[in-house]
Amino acid sequence: MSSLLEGLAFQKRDSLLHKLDPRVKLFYALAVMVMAGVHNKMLPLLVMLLAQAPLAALGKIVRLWARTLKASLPLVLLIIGTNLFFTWLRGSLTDLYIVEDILALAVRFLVFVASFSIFTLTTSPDDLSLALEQMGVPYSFCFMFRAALRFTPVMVREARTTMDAQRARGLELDKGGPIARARRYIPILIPLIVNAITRAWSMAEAMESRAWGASRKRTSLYVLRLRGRDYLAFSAVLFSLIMAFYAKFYLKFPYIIPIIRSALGI
Amino acid sequence: MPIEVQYVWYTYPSGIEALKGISLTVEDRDFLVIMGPNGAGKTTLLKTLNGLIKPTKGRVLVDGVDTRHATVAELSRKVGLVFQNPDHQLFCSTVEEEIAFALRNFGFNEEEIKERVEWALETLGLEEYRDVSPLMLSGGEKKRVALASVLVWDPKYLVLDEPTLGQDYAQKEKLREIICGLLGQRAVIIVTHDIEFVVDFRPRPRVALMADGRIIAEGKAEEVLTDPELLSRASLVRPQVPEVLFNLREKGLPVRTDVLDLVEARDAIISLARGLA
Repeated sequence: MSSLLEGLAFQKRDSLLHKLDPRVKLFYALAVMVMAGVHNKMLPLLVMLLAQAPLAALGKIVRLWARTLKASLPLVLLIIGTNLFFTWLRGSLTDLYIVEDILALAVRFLVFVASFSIFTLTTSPDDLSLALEQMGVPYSFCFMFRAALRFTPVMVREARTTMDAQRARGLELDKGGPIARARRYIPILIPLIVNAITRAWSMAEAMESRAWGASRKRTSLYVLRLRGRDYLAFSAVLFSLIMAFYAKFYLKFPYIIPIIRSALGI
Repeated sequence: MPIEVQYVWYTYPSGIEALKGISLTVEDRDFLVIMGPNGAGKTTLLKTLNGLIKPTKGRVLVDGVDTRHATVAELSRKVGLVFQNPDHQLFCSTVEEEIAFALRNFGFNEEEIKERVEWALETLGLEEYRDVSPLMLSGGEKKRVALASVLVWDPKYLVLDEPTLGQDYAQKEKLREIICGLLGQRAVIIVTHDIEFVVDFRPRPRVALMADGRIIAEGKAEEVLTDPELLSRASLVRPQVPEVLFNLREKGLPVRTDVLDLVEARDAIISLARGLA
């Protein structure tokens, strides 16, 4: 789970993808979600998944991107497992084509993960919040979002220190059954929550001392402006989106099982 | 039997080398102060003593037991580590419960728990707060509760990380009194930046200076803490009392300079005045 979260954290790199306007990248992530949502056959979904690999390369994040996909495998297996089980329970698990459809669902999930991971790996939380702000989302919401992301590593570090401090007082975290173990996390959770609340209060006071909310119309140090490459990327995503809808309504996709069979000669 | 830190190296998973070949021995009933700048590796070193951190290279022996072959709970029974920030550990609804927490973890029986909690409350002057929530206390009181919650199982080695941080003068003096009362029956190891806090201790501690993951000096407080070259490498400045005497000597007065506290300074100045008269 931790490496899945890690794969969603921003990575500072010097790449074309990093320089793109965050709004365009957000549009890309949402567009891919819609595209994957409307399709349910293996072939188009597989194309969507593979088509993102060059983008990850363009953003110089291939390794982390691949790690995110790998980290999502347990969830993928869960999707496949539950679907297979309930299809079998209904008695409709009759042939391999149904299995292919079930696998397609898992690939659809991977497409979601893949596009969002490309988005989050190449877009800093500050950029994202700026994008939301300039799209008209109220500033306090953007700030909340940004602060939540920024304090996550602080909380992680604090959780580690607290664990160490309690272990130094003889707490053994991985002893006993699941319920006993869960109970042992109380001495860690309470200081963590209390500190988070205390910090939120003092941060709120510090921000009010610095005139938070004094003016209704906030100006921004950085103003997002779309450049040529942004328009180009936007058009490409829009084109893919239209093509995806066109393909959904006017094309009929073959199953890939017969293709694999004939290729292997069985 | 002592704690033996033998040529210990430690690299954090992030790649930061925090300890670079540390060797150190803490005898029974020893009194040791470790000083040095932020990021010198002091806290990391403390965490190797009770096995929270296992050395990447080298080894730590606690009474002959290699920390790699014992659990943190087993080692903590001997090495009681009090963390810097009490807010990271206080969680019970009363001070009494907070102090009893470790005893329950170590499996003491109820009768003994009662006895020991009473002793710890008394030793640290916390009796009036026994039913108060530790979260409601002031910074200095919280520090004392954290100390009590470790002292209560009477570890053979008591390790304090920055005990004076954020404390006012009166609280520091109270803390010094408490620590002095504990000396002689167990080893006490203190990590601190607070040089004035260290120099007023009687008996004087042994001092180890750390910088950049290494121990750059170890010896008697009056030798280590008056050496300006060593001190500047550890981002410390000479305490005020010896600073005055060194200034006098620079002015050409034949005064002793191996002096740390006011009483010694007074004697040095008296004998200087007598010599001049």
